[in-house]
Amino acid sequence: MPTLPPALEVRQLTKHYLPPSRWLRPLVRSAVQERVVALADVSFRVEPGEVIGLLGPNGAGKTTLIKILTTLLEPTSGSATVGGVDVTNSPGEARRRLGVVLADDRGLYWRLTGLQNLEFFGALSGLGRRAARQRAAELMGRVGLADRDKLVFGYSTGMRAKLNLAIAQLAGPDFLVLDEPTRSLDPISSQEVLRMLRAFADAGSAALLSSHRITELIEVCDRIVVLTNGRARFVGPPEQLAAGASQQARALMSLLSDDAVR
Amino acid sequence: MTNGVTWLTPIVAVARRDWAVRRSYQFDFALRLFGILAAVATFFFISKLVGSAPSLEGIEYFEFALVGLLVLNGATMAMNTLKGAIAQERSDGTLEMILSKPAPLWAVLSGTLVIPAMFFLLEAVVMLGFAVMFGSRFPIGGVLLGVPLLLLTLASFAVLGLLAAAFIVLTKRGEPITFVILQSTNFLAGAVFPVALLPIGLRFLAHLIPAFYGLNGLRAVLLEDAGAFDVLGDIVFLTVFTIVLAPIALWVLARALRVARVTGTLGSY
Repeated sequence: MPTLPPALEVRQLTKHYLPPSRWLRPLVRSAVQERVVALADVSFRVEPGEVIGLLGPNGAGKTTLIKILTTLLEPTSGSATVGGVDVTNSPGEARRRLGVVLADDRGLYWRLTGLQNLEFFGALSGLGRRAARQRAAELMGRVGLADRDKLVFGYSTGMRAKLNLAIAQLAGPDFLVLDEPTRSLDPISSQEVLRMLRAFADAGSAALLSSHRITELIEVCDRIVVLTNGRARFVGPPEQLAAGASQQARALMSLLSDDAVR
Repeated sequence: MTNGVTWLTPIVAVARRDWAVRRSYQFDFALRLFGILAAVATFFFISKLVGSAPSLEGIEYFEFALVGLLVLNGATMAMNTLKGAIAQERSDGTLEMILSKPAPLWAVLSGTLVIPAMFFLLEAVVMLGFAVMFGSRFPIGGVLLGVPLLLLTLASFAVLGLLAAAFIVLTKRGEPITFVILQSTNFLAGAVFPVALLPIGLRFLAHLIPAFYGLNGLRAVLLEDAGAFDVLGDIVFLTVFTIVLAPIALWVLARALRVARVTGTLGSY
């Protein structure tokens, strides 16, 4: 029986931001003045059914990693595959397998209703009009917005977070990537989003959840990757990190407690 | 694509989205109509000064300038729609969401043209209606033949809009390129005064601008009772210009997106 590819495999992923070359400098507006190592040799894998947490202080490289996984950024070297599909060499195919929740809630059309947002992104995700409509209605119910279909600018932050999670699941992705989906949420809304995420993984898919909140990662994740200065310093079960079971884990907890624990 | 999903699906989805958003700004079209009436009336009164100058070769200035206004409005719409779509999606934060979906960007951008083009055609009809109120007469056959000519002119400027979109992906500012193209069109293509008034060297440049052919063709069918055969040269130029430049513009846009993906500036503005 053939073995399934990992839901996500990241191999020696490295990203350097470089200042624009001399001929591009007059054209490209970039804040980068000198080489910045955003990711260095990061490797880990995620199996189907797993939720993996991505933890690190600001500037650790979490968003860079997420943008590479979601095909919005090209790595300098190394590779990442989603269900065996390389995100750099086959971005179109990789996008079909991915569901994405980007940081903030700016990825929504505020002059459309929740249902209209879902139908629109459903069509862009490869669903036909009828299928997109059915799936949109189903997901509105699943995230608790079925009777709250109104213009998104009338939604609360928690409702927008749920809508984003619904959009990410539109085309039945194998893998969800979530960049701080609970950042602006109150504890109750955060719990709801995390519960939905856990249910998604328990159904056999997998997810990567980036967050500053150690407690919620410990609660929902099967394993945690800790990034600092672009390097993966720890990959392992959350209880090992929480218990400070090694000198390395204790050092990381100490480092993160200043910047990341809220 | 399968399950009833074709390359048309994202185009229709974007058009439906734009229609829904436009419906939420209900005064927009009414204000546009007022603007059109003011512009048409302005040229009507300017024509009282100019009359039918010899360089217009028998055409009333009002009708000459009306066609110019029509084409300039269309060119502005086609260029600004694509450039504006990229700029707007980026500042709204939806560009990265769109680019993380499997739908091809060319289809999404094509979709952004549908509703503005429909509104533009409606505005063109209204503009001709206002001109009729001011005493102009247009042959029905000429109006019908004018539609494909106008659409071809829009298509040629939409392709230039793709280049402006590529420019905005790289530089975060698209105004310079659209400003240069639209002002050159205004000055050189014969929108509000005949090309024959330009110095000989500049007259040559007019032939490089697609609006020149759109204006020639439209004036011929609307104001000179010309038939399809008479404007075949204009139609061929606009078609060839669009067909040749479209893949180049798409390639340039793809390269610009690649640069933005490498430098990490895709979502910045």
